[in-house]
Amino acid sequence: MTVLLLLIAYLAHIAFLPLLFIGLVRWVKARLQGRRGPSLLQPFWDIAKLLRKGETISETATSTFRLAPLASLAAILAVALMVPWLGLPSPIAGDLILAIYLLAAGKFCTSLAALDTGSAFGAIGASREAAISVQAEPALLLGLAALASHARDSRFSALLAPGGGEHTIILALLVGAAAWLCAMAELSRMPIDDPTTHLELTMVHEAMVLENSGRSLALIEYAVALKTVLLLGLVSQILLILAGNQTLAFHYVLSIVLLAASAVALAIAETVMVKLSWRRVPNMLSYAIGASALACLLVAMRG
Amino acid sequence: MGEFHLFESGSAVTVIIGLWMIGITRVPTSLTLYGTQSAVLGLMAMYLGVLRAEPLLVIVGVAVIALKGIAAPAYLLFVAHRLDCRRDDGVSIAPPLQFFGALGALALILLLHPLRAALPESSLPSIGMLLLGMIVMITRRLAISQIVGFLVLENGIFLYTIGQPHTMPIVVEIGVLMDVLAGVMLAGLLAFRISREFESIDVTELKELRG
Repeated sequence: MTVLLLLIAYLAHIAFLPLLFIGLVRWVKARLQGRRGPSLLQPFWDIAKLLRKGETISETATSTFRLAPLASLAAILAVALMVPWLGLPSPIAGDLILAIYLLAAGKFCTSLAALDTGSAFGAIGASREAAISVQAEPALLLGLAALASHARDSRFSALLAPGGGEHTIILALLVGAAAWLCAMAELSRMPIDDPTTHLELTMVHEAMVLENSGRSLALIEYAVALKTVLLLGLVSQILLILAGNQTLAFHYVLSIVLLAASAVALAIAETVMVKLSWRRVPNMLSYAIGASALACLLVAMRG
Repeated sequence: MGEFHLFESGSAVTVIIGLWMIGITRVPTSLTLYGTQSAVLGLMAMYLGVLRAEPLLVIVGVAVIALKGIAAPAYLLFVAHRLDCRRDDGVSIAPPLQFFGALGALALILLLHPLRAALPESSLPSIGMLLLGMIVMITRRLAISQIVGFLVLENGIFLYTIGQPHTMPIVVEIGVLMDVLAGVMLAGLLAFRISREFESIDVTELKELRG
């Protein structure tokens, strides 16, 4: 019964929270740039418009191109029901390795579709996305593994539980920082990539989806929004380990507040920061890997 | 949360900041990080002072925050701005690789603990920070980054001192603090002189001095 209730709660949030989050980021960003900005609901109207439009598919594309958006959305949806990113217990039990590799599988499908059309920009975007995720994945995996070996359990419900023990504060801060950097890299956001760029040569994620239109573009945009709240929700859950044991309602409210705060942080970062030059991306991600490795070291020392 | 626990977490934070500084190539960022590290050290000294009911240690903490946390980094930021040095890409090995090397070395020291007989485990963070400061001094190109490395090394010594059950007399502490501040001032002036004489503060170019 509780599982059913949780499933309903998660599905309800999955339905509206991702697009609302994107809307909030855009609105805050517009405010910071001195514009009035679109309404918070604008991403919903965008998706509705895309769903009504026809789709143009390249003659050279195979069925991979049409199935990839569905496959990647399915993978992200499965992870979204596995990770307790809302602050409520997740309806499906899942462990960190399954979640990380499901996300990687979703990414693989998108890259495959980008290569399938044979367009040069799609291939550039796919190769960049792969290059970034090769560096971001070990950091996220190591960081979560450190939390898991601290909790002696690799399921999300256990590893995100506010356990006692020494050094939980530093552990949570290190893994939180690493996860935030990884989230920025995985989501192609500042300072790794500017999501609003209009220059194909510098795009990462956008270059991959240049060929998509209509319904499949709507699916991709929604999948990216869902992945954004999922990864940032995971970061806030890691930071909420610091808050200790709370009641479920309080924890939920804190999680939502942290999600909103990370939307504002994203908007501020995208307003004041400049994109890293491509050669310096590994430097930044090396800090993520370093922080995760330190977290592992800390756990190894304290047994 | 016990006394020792919070102190240990604080020293871990300072060592992590020191480690981070190895990977940093931007000069202003590394100066800011140095200021943060000193401020954390100052807070730790104040905390220990309150805990052990030693008002002098609290005063030392306040002085550390004011002088090493704010004054020294601000002065060096001014020098860096005047000399127009923004980035220090390091000598021979790229800083991110140095960062991983230092991380590996730190892991080996902490996990194997080779000098178990001579050093108690509580002094390992300070020894680690001392060595991190040395790495920064050896591997940097600009004179100003070498000053930063020296200051990190000095922070390691300070961490060692406040970690001891019986702290040094206040006169010694304040004296050391003043010495460090004078050293920073002199080193900053020296950097100005080097840059005027050689039109660069890149120490690898100082080889030109050899006849």
